[in-house]
Amino acid sequence: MKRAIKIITLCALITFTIFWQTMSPGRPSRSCCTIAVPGLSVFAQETVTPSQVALPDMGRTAESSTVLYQVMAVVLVIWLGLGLFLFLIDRRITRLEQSMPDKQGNGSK
Amino acid sequence: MKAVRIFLKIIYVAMPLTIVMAFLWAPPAALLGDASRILYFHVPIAWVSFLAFVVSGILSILHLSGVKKQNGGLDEKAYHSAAIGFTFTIMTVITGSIWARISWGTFWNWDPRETSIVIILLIYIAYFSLQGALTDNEKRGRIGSTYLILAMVTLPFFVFLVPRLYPSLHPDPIINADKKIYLDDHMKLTLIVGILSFSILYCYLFDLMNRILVIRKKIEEYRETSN
Repeated sequence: MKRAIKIITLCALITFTIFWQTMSPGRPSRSCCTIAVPGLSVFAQETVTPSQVALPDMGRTAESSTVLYQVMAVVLVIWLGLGLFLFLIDRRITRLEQSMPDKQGNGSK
Repeated sequence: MKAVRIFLKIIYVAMPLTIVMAFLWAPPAALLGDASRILYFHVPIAWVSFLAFVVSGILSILHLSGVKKQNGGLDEKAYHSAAIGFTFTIMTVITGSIWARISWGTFWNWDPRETSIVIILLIYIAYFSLQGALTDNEKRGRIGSTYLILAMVTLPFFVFLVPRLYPSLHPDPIINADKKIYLDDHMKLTLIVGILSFSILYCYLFDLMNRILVIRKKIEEYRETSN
């Protein structure tokens, strides 16, 4: 479960980093690093405990359940990225529609 | 139209709901185990590709029959629908191949359903090549629409007929001879929610593409009038 949370955190941070850069292309990429580096450090902090080295026999079901959570988390994060991307496109199109002049030449902002 | 667009925003909730239901709520299939959960993505994606191709065919019929709409030709909307359908067909092939690797040991078996999808892909690749080759807008619209109607006519043959005519590795189609869905109630509901979510996603993408088309047309009109 801990691993799943770490994967979610990392994927979420990477997704937000990409969109941060997309939304503000003029800004220096230093801001991206300030988000991405803590994300990577989540994995850098990982330590191997004896229980992780040798999985208990009864842990097969638990292991498959953990894998299921991990896969779900990855799929959710992918959707989060795609959803955010769609939302931003939708917002930009709406803005463009509002700024377009109508047939009579009105409505342009 | 505004109400429809607000409704389409339900996708931001529906898709995560589908994912959570598919992974946590629905039970694993008896023999396939957790790998069977790909069903809740593979089947809806395949359904959307079929839906998109049918919509493109219907729009082509409307285009050729002379029904005109303000802001943007129906042939271009048909093109957008076919493009979405094509993308979803590729996704169907990818998800299906992953499932085939888990269930049958190989990514590709030339199963009747797999062969059908390859032929459908080739048909639509030819359509996009044709669209790319024609420069005259009117001609492209007419020829492209005619081709899409012909492509739509072949769909029931490849999607429904071929997999029933030849022995297939695929499980019984959902619409089978007994007219029954052999799924657990939770699995059935998850599948229905998945199909609805992906259908809404298709509508949302289609709407976005058409809105871009309208903006593009307006810009073209504006340029023409300003020149």
